Amino acid sequence: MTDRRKWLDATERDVQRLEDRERMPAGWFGLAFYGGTVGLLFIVPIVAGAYLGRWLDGLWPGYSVRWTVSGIVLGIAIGSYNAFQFMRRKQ
Amino acid sequence: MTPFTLNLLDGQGSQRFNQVTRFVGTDRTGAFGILARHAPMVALLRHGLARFSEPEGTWRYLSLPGGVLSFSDNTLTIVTVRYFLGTDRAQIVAQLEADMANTDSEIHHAQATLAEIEQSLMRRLAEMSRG
Repeated sequence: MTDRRKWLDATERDVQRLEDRERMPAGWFGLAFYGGTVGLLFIVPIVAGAYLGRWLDGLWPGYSVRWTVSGIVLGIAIGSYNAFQFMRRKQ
Repeated sequence: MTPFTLNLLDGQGSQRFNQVTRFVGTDRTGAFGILARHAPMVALLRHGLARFSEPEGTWRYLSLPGGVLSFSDNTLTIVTVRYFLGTDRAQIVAQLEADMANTDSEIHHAQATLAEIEQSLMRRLAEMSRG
């Protein structure tokens, strides 16, 4: 085999190896880490929105959940956006 | 991430990259990575692909037929017979083949020209010896 052929073959093999590695599914630890991060990015704004809304509802006399529901909906929107951005960057 | 300087040298010239953040190469023992302020080192790169990234995160791929790598004073130097640099990993083999074919064609052209010169010279010498 000529040096030139060896060079081409080695380059082709290395490119293939890199592509295989990127396509390979993550291990359990990686999957748990990834899932946990996405989960936190989604859940934290919802919980924060719910607490903020509940506090705002408590400021006025009488029973109302208007701010709590609004906070949760806002939290879902922010959490979805966060999770989407994170997944897009990871791709 | 702190950058370091990469100098690439081959038989056709040299290139310098001042903002390299990571380098990944392969020697006989396997793949290894280099970051800024690495301890001084020397390695013999094997045939194949090495890569390095710049601050914006884009990887550049370096195909080489082996070479000597040295790192000191935050500068990485790679000396090789010839290298091929590209940003599109999927296309690098095809680009390398095209580049080799181009070089072959230039060599054939130069050889043909040389042969013509030689023949003309021989003809002229023969004419002179007859006359």
